Amino acid sequence: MKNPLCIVLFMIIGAAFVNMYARGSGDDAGRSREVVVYAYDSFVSEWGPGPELKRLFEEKTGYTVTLVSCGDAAEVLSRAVREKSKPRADVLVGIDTTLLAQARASGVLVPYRPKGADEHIPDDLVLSDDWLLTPYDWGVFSIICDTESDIAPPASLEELTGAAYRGRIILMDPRMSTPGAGFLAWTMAVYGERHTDYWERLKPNILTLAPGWDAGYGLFVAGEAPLVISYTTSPAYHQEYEQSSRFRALVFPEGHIRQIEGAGMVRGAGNQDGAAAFLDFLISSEAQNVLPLTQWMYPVNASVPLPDSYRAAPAVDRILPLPDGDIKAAMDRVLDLLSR
Amino acid sequence: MRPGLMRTVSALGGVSLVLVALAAVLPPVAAGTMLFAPNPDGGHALGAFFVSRILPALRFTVLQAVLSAILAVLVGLPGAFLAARRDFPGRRILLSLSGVPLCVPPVVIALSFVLFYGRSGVLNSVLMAIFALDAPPVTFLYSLAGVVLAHGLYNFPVVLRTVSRAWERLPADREEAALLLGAGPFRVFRTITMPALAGPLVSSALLVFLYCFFSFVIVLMFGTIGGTTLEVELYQAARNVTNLRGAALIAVVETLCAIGFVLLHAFTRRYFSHTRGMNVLRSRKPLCGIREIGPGTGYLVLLAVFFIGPLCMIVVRSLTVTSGGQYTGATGFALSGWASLFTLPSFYSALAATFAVGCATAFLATAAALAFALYEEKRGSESTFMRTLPLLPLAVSSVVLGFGWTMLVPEGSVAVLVVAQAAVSWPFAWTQIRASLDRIPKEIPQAALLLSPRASDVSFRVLVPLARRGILSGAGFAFAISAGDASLPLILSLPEFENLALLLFRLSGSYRFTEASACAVLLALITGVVFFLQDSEKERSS
Repeated sequence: MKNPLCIVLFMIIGAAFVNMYARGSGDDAGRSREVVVYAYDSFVSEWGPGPELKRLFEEKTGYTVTLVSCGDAAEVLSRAVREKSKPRADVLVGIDTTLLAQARASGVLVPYRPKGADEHIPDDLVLSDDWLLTPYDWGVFSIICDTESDIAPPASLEELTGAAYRGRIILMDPRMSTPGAGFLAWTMAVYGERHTDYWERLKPNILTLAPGWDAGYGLFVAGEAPLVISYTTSPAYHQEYEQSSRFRALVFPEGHIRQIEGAGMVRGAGNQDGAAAFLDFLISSEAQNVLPLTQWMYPVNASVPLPDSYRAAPAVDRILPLPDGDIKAAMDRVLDLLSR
Repeated sequence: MRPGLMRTVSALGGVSLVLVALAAVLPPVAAGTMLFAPNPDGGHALGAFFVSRILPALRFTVLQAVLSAILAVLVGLPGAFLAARRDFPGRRILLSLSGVPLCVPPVVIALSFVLFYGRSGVLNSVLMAIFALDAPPVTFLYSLAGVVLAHGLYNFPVVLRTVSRAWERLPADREEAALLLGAGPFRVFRTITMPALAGPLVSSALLVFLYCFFSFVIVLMFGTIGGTTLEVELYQAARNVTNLRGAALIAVVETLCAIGFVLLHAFTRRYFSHTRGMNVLRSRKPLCGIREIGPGTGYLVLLAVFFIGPLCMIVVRSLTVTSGGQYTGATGFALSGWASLFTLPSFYSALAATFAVGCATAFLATAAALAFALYEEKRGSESTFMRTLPLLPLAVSSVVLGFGWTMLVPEGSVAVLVVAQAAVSWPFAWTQIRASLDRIPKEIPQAALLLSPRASDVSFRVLVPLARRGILSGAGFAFAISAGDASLPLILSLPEFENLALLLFRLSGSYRFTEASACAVLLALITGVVFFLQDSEKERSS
């Protein structure tokens, strides 16, 4: 081992072995009673719906659920794609409207229409006609306003570009956060091709594009700026846990866009029956009841009663269809424009 | 120590070294192999993308990292002098701050800077009240200056600790001789002290530089709106399953750039003298005379206000809760955030996991670093290659590491986590141990070799005891890195695993910013106490 090249060679051979071992190992025994669910981190965490859903589902069906946190929704999908030849997960949770096309192209999911779908899920929430994904909750992007600040709340998306809001808006980086990408899609849905002009006008009013929802919303709650992009249901959290109506979600006349989150069955899953049972369960009233106070999103099942704090979440009458333009290209254009 | 035991310990050291080295090299290699992945779409525009976005991003990233490293050196150097040579109240607290940049996540640091320097932050409120201003006067936060300030102040403790460690053992004889011969204090500093400190100074500046080179949370938060860094571009590319080749290209470019900086550092180091002097802890004088008390106190007060100030804001944030009953939205001070943190069912298991994994990581990283350093000592020659090798893991950014690990391990375990974290913290542990060994005069191991029956006696009976301070300090750094790490546990997808850093991440991801701040304060305190205890152990022993 005198020669450094020798060490490098040794390491590469070692890498190959570790890789082979990792791919080769895998235990099929007991899989028929276990459902492996990949989800994003906040779904699995103590404050997310994961632990409670696991308990209810296990009680009801006798399966055991293994919840695996993969980071965020995009990482759920990319992990499943990497494991495509030998899938470990049975169900993927958190594939939303923006990831649908990628999920379809990758071919890691198989369509499944859960039992009770007709009864529980309104037509406008169905993510695709072939039921590649089962929708389980939805939310509406909106601007949240701090009512204790000195600004008058803007009355429309267009008014956000007004001189009164110079440096007063916290947005999130569309590359790193769902509400960030959601706001971009919203401007595309409202302004079409001319959304770049809108961003040009909005530019001086943006305090920062925060790297992630937690960073941006944290800044907002700390009082750094009075306007932030989040969901209409955000005020419900402050109502429920802080009895505060200080933060208000604004409804704009141009209309809003909606994020629908779905779950899907993995192609070649080790436990197809278990996956089907989990998806059936996910849209049942029992499971849907857990979502409002853990996900802070609306359950798809409209028969589920909402908690009182949801009165702080304003209803949005005008839901816009998702823009057809390429969101990734728009992201590059808008970021170019902003950094100029 | 019996020879048999020594052999076993050496073997264990060797095994740790191999494990850690593998864990450092495999992920970037795995990430690089994706260059040959099939590419359904994307890839065709990589060249244009490289010129239009990556090159400007690279320029900004390097600029802010250089300026931040310079600021960290400027702030850290006076502190290193005071901590090494003078006694003053709060000296050990100053030294125990070293863990802060490693264990407190950048999102929390960014928030603390906003609470202090922000538009409605403390500084602006105070200035507006004093001078009766209508608009906040301090507005540089959202600019290059803000990025550099946050990075510089966040990272200076690394410079402070590394340099003061060397400074307190710098041989006095040469300085005294120069003074006797009539040189002024500044000339002595410039011609004798500075060259002797150059090694640790450049090493720690490199650590800070690479830290800032890879940082993206603070860059995006305060830097130009819509700006980018290589790390951000890689993050985005690695998430897109159809563009793995693009991600691999960025990963390779980024890692090669960083390796370039590590090599540059290794070559500049060769120009500095490696004087090995008496390894004797010099006594510290109290600050005396107006010429010392004035600037010394000034420095400490400035540091307290501008660095400790923002950190205190996190404490304040952890105590700020919405109160006042129904529908008022008023905020007040209360311990309820702390109370709800301590009553979380998962809190104690997270605390235990932080200590267990942190100690295991610290042990493995230190064993590997020590094994390597002693092997170097045994070989005797100081080759640039051997000096650069341990620093190479620094060239692997956290996103590259995550990208690589996800290729390698479909299902992680706590053991994999420990090895992965040890690989990340190895360079820090090695830097500390190396700095201690470098202060041991050559004659001591040579004499020991003549007088010892076996070569291993020199390592175990002479070098290890003499380098104990560095070894403990290295373990402290490794512990802090492990304690503050939320990304590797997430990347490895350990089921049911949670440490304090991950708990913090989850708290701030679910609106619970008060509890998240309490958790950050706790993390900073734990690593602070680890450094504090270690320092006091050394005080007694020397």
